[in-house]
Amino acid sequence: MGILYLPDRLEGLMPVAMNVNGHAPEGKAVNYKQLRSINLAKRGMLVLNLEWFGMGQLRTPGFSHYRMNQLDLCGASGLAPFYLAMQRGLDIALALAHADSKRVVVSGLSGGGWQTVVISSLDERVTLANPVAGYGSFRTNILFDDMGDSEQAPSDMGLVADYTHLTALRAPRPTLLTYNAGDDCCFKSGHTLEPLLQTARPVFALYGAEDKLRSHVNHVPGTHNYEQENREKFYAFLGDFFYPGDKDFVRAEIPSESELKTAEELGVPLPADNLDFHRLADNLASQLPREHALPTDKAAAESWQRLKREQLLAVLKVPTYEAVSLAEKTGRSGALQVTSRLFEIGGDWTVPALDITSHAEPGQKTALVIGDAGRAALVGQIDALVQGGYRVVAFDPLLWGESKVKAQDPDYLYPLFVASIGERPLGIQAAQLAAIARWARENESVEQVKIVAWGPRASMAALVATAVEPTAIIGSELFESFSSLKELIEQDKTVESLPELFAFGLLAEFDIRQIVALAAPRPVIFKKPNDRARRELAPLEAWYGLFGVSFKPAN
Amino acid sequence: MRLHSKASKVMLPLPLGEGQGEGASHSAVHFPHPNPFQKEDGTAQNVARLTWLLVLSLAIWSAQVRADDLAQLKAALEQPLLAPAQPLKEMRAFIEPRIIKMPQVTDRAQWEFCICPIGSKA
Repeated sequence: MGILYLPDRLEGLMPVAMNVNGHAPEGKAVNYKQLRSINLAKRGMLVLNLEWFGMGQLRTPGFSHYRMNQLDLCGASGLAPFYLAMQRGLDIALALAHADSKRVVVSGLSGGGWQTVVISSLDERVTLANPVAGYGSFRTNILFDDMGDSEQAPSDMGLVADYTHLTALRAPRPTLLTYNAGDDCCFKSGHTLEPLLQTARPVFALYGAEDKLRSHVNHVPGTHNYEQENREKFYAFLGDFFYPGDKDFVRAEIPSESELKTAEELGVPLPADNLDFHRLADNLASQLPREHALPTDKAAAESWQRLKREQLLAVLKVPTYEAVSLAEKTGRSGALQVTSRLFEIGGDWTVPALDITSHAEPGQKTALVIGDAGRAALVGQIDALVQGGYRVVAFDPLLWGESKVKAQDPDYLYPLFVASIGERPLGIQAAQLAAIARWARENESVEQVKIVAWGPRASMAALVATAVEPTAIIGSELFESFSSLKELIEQDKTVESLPELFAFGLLAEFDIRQIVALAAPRPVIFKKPNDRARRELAPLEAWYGLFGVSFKPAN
Repeated sequence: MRLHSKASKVMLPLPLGEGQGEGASHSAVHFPHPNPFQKEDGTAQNVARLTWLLVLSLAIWSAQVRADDLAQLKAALEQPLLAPAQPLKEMRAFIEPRIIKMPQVTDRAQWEFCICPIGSKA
């Protein structure tokens, strides 16, 4: 939805502007956006002031940007609605009478700057763009905690392009990059602007369009803003390229405060059944996974397992890691022998672990213990296993416990970024588990390694590891596990609490039942199952029966 | 430890004023005999009491040892093993080399050939 601003006099071909907004909760009614829209209309432009998901009238839980990953889980790009909304906005604006398709501008602040670079780089109808403090290169985003919401780090985008590429893709079309010197939100000019210019300038130069790539750094007020000084630079840039030689073109702001309207006055009726990210995902999930039926004879079941195991490895991009135990220190902790280890995994990760036993002996049955809240939160559980005769290797895989990434940005943004460069955090976690299980088997002569996991995140990683590592892992016990990935959507979960579970396309190919089926005949035990778990996993009793095992995962 | 040691060798503290009747009385006043060791069944009661006391002591001691063990285990589990900010450093080191690079091009045709997939994948 949006608000159309038209000049009083419509004549001839007139430039088209699409104003997109960022995370201002007022949405299309925010003053600086209204003022820009009114000013452009007063300069003779057709202006579409577009509402953004999660803002203004669309400020509902279902449009929260962190819910776009519910679509990702279903194998439909959560980013697509963002792009399609802008694309449709351009369709509508360019379909207006008097629209000049050669003079089409998009501009916005913050998330609006991000929207601007995305649509204006990929949709060649946008002939001029002014993103304001809305994006940086992947490199500066990760180094300066500028990672933003889900849409700014969409799954797999980094396999195709960085924002440096998008900036360069603007060539040779006029592009003004505006950043703020003392930005109190993100994308400070000091670290953001130069890397973008450095990569885009040579490409503009290939077109002989060096002058069409310009930048502006705002110092007054210098904060995260698209206020008058930034707007006037934008008007001047428009004047240079859309109104060249027009001495009457006004480069200064035309005072328009008296024309500002309230959010209610700018309200647009919405259909009662308007969809949002959550509802879209809910609709999609009901049909997933695509192939949910399990074979009914043993030969077909074994063949299915081979095929689907490869598919799971591919969907979650599970790497094959080797774990090497370093920095071992052994001591006593009361009656227990405790060895601290640092597992170096795949040359990328260091996983901290404690190896705990009451009576060290070769080949002792071993439990790999993990939990969403980290090993330190599992004292009682670990003690119970040790008292039960287990050697316990308790560790914190990627993102949990001591391995949680602590920075200025929230920790859940890092897994989004990992997914954005084409990897899957859940696949990495499962690979770390599998590597440590192989280490125990190969280096410690342990025949029986099981995984015991507490929490929905750890349980999922344990389940995947059990499914893809049939040799070293003899089974797993899952506490507080989901029994269906659809619960993530039904319970309206987001990446803020369960980031790695929203792996792109996972539910399209697998639900938890199918992943457990990959582990059979090894037991995957859902501890303290609820009725849903018993219902979801009941068909697996027959499946285990195909392998000659009488077993119910959720009993 | 033997639980059935001779009761007479076990010196249980008695409440003040009790036990005065043990052995020969040097008092003309007759006190009701409160000493549980005086009678046969009283001795058995005392052994039982002693047994329970020992069991209780053992339980308390054992619980204390378990609590100490758990506290030590908790401390061990909470002990940091990684260097400060190591997860952040490793995360950045993991991501940075995987960020797609800009193609090195020298003319427009090369550039447009390189960027073509971006448009088609979008």
